Amino acid sequence: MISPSVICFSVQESFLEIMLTHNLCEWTSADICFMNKPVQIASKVIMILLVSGPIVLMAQENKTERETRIKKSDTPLEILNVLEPYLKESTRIKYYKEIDGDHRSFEVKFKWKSKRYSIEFLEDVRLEDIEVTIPFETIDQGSKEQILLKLQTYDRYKVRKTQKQYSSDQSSAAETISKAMRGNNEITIRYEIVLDTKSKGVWSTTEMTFDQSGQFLFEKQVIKRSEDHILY
Amino acid sequence: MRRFSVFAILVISAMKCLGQQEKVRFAWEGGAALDYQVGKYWTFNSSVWKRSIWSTSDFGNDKSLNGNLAFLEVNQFVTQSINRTKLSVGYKYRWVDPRSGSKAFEHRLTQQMAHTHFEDIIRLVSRIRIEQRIRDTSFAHRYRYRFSIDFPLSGENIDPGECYMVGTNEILFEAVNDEQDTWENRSSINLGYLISSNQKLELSFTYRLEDLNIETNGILFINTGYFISLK
Repeated sequence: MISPSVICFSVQESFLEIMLTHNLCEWTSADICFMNKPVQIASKVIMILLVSGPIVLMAQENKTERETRIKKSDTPLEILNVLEPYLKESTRIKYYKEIDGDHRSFEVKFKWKSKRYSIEFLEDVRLEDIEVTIPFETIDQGSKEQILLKLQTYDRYKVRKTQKQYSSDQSSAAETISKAMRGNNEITIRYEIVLDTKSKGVWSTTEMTFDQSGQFLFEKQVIKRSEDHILY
Repeated sequence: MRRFSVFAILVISAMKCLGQQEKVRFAWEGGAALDYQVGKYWTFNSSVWKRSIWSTSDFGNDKSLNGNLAFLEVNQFVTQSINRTKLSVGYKYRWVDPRSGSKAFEHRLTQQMAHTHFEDIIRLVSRIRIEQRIRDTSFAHRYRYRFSIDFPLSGENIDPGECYMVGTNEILFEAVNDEQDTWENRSSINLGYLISSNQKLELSFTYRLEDLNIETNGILFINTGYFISLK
């Protein structure tokens, strides 16, 4: 892989060369030398960072999950057929392909009867799960109490997003989807909650998964989008 | 793709407007920034930037484009996060017009608060910034408010190899000693490319309307930046 730092410096060098060769600026070689003087030390530091940065950073790269938006025509026909009854009454329909290591899947997101759904299928078009975004308060009272017991172990917390997840059962994909869309609780349910938590003075964003009765199953840190371009 | 097309159309329109003007004048800012965490609570941001002003010649039929280095600057910010609110203080040093051998300088102290109102696929952020600008010839208080929106151009997250877009609008009030107070508006559109989870490139176009309350001048800024995060 060509290091981005090499590209940056090559572009800079070529730019200065073009400017001088074609007489596009009033700078002389002496000017360029002068301009370089005040930033000589800073340039060296940046050069080291740029050259070493990609090597160090590439070693840190371990997140392989990637979700890419695709066209409807790139989504397998079997998936479109099984979702057809709902999609014709839906808005904001989006199609995605997700790659997470060896795991590949298709995902269709849409808004149906004022609720946001996300239905995921494996690469061989078997149904994986159905997620619907719900208000936290609408979780069954018993389950909610259990979930709150876990959340109260943090100094502070703020729920950002709650999803009810229906897993595929023994019945056909169409039947499972139909049950989930009707809110039938007979199929396996989990709750996925994204929340900001404060522990030992530090805030972080976490996605927690609970079973149907509100028992904590597992959690994972949410990697937040970089903020420097909106901060400085 | 549709979102990217909007960016391309805006950029082409801006360039066309620029080309139609008798005298072309724009600023180019380029630089690099490093974002890193120290301990659990503090985030640091160090950056080096330069600005050059480009304009066509005023002499006769000579329409050549000339670039003049306006300044070189170093910035250092330190930020503490309180959930979705970030409090920062910063310091900037500028070498003004370094080519001319001028001794002009600028120190700038910054205090700011940024708050994320909403974060899902799109993110909405407000930033209030107070600055004390100390030049060799003047002292100014500056008060700024900026509203930003950013979102990925593909899917719901910004993954390596994908682009994102940022749109901002900022209002700036400046009070300088012995001079009339001025208002300014800055609108920008920014295209970013995430090279890896820790590195990104950005290209942005900012249109500044300066001295809104006196005699308004407009100038286009083209910004290019390379960003590294060690967080």
